[in-house]
Amino acid sequence: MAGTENSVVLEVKDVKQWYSQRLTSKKNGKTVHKQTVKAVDGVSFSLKKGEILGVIGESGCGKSTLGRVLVHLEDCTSGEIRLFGENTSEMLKKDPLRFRRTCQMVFQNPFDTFDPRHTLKRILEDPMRLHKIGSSDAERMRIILDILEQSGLHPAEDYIDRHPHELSGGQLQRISILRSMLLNPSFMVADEPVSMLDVSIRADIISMLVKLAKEKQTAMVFISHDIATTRYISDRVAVMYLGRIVEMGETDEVLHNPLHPYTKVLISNCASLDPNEVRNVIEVSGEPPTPIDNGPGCYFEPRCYCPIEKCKSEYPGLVEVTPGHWVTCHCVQAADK
Amino acid sequence: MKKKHPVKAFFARVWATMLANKQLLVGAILVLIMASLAVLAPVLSPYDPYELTPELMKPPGTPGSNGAPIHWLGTDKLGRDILSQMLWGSQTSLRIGFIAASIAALVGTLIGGIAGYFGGRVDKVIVEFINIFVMTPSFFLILIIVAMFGSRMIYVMIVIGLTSWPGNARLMRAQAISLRNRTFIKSCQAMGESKLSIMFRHIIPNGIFPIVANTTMQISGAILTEAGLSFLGLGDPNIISWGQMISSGKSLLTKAPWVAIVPGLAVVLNVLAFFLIGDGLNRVIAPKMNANK
Amino acid sequence: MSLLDIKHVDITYHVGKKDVYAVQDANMSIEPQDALGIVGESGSGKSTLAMGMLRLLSERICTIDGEVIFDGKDLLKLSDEELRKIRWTEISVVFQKSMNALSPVHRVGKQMEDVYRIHRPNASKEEIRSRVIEMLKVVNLPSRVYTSFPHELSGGMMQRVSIALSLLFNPKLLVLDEATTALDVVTQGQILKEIMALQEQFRLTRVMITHDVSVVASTCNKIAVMYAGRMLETGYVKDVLVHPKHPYTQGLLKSFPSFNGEKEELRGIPGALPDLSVKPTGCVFAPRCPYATEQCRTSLPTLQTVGNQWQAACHQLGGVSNGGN
Repeated sequence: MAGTENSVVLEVKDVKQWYSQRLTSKKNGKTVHKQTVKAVDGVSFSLKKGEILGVIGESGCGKSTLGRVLVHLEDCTSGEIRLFGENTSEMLKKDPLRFRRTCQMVFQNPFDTFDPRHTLKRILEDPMRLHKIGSSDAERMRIILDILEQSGLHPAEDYIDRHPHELSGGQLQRISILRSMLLNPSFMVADEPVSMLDVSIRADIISMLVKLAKEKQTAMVFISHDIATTRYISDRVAVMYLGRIVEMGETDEVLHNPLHPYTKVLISNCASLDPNEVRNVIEVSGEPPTPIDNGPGCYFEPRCYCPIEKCKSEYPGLVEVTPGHWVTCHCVQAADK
Repeated sequence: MKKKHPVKAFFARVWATMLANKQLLVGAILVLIMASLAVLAPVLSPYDPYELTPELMKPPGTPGSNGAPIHWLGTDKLGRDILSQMLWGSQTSLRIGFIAASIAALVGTLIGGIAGYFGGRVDKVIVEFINIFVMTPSFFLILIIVAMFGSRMIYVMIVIGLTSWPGNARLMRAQAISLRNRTFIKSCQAMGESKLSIMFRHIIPNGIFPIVANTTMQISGAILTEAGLSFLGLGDPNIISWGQMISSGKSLLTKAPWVAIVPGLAVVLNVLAFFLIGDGLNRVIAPKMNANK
Repeated sequence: MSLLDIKHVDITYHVGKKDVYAVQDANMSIEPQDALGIVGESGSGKSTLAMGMLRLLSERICTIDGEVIFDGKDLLKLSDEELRKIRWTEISVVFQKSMNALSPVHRVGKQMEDVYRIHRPNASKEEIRSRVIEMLKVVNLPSRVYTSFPHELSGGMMQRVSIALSLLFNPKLLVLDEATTALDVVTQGQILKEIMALQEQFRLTRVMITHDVSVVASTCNKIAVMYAGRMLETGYVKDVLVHPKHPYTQGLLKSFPSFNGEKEELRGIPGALPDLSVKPTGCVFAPRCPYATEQCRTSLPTLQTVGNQWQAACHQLGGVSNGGN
């Protein structure tokens, strides 16, 4: 589904990340029963060169866990991730530095992305030494100054001995992105990179991220709960609910013509800036559930506004409704036939 | 704004902290005085501490015979000058304190750091190991080891160090566990740094401060332990120490009380000084404790 | 007559030897049953203003000047005892993480009863209990919440409990400080809708403090835009958000990616927040403003009326008013 085999950067096949939790009895401290939190429960997709996939969903849907699993900050319970056809777990074992160069991550909290005791110079220099970027100290220094300059710190020389807490969130996040891009990764995960920043600086960070990704042909997974932002940055979007992708397709196709009831709910609840706009908010009952012991049926069925009989007993498969637009819903699939 | 030289700025900050925190200041002054006395012992001592003079068990202030210097703090039952013994003994006490506490800090930081950062099975095993050490009565352990291997000063220091690390290990483990989940550690991991490098370059430097404070307190503990050992007659007989002086003075408590009281007071003062610094540092780390005062 | 009148309020934090001018010369009036949204980014002073006018800031670390007239009384001049009587019974606040205010070892219902008893010490057990249960029902919570512990509730339910708690005494004024920020879109949508229904039902006057303009757009009728401690534009939502006059408001609105229409290039506002410990000589926004002139850098613009209860503080009003949307 992702075009010719050559241009596919990343293939994710049925990745699962389950955590087991022990509940202990209040009386005697013995394990009463074990439960499994299925944070990511069978996610598959593939990414082409330079393609940006937006992953949206509410908190607790497993999108951040998925991000960490993709760059192996956590090892997944089962499933397979392939980069250019090569299994990433094996790649990480064989040559960890090469894997880290190919796979990078930008984190949500720029204020905590760097060691608070290190100076900016050391923060930028250490990874360069590690990955043997730049042949001399002078060349590395030039790169460091260039990154600081691009992050909006003028004159850059004055900032090399500063510590991260002396900078603003926007500046730090720029440094974080540029530092990751320094390694020329083919694949990158951006986990809510702007959600902790002020609105007026978000736009520039996003533009920079997109520009760099397109320039260097980096495939990216952009994780966000902000649908409007995701729309700007991504070529395709995947909507996650309780650890599974419920709908995936071209960005505007999914966002303007959503098929899955959950996507519809999510989008209809997006507030607009225009006070005069009439909104048709679809309401759902109940609280967002936790990914524990969800039963055999569709996970969204208890909150769904249009469930059918089959939804209770069987989890729907991912079906391509129109070319490139995939959805997991019995209702939609029944209507399609 | 002009930026100060980093070293200068560091000392300025230390000074400001001390002024704001009186106990830290008092402790630091006391330790400074004692350290300089220990260093200057060869110059300041009026007598050779081992020299036997004809003045036996003389009270403080007795003049020496044949124009020898005054015994400012008196003499013991062999006629040795107590002031000189005190000065030389302070070297022993400080050395014991620093070396034993450093061993405890080093071992505790490493073991605690490994347990906390690596987690999982490694952590479980180490925690049990720590618990075993905590439950062992360490003073008796020291007694047994000294009885088995002899009472050379170096053994005493190592043994004290090796029995007092569990507290540090627990502190470091807690620090490492909370640091492990911070974004910057994940970011270093994503940048390709190895686990060992992350532990030594990020986890330990960022989590070491409580251990520094605890180590200062452990210096006083080590001094006390050595005094106890010497008091029981298990100290190194070839080296002058306060504990030994107290031990030899205990039988003279009625006839010549100063022989035991002077070194006793010195031990108390020393322990207090290091404790004040340690507690002061603890308050600096947790400013909330101050806010309520 | 307006319910709350804020006149020339300055709030200054004392941090070490420095003074931080967090709010300067804030003026606004809130009519009964208005819903005012105070919008600003971090460091704009929006929360400081709200906390300051209710005197919830420690007097050791800051000074507040000016007048805050609530229902004919100046809140800043009341004695602690008088203020205590007004707080919660006439003015109540819901914070972003108000769930942290609940004790984790006591049941929710019990804690709500305790709050009730503080202000009505003579109330009977039955009266208190029925009032608490009634309020839980008002915010659409199931009755089991009464006997639940805080950790058994989700974020959305906790925030509902906080709202129920704030409405115990039918206050005249409800201040919501980022009350829905930490919640998911769907839950936020539900709660905002409930808050608006409650406003009708209890004839509330509401102040919403938020960084999210879309929340204000969908739930408030008036808006005040703050930046670096100053109010830059105030007015009706349908005016300010549709044809913003102040360059900052315009820039802020352009920074929001839109859900519909063309994906034009996103434009943020270049630069960063000025140092709040330095009193600016000119307009606080001048260093980041695309239209700034010499006049903007040297003299302070005051709020000028540009429409029906619509004010903006900008020297270039004539020149930039067409630059909006």
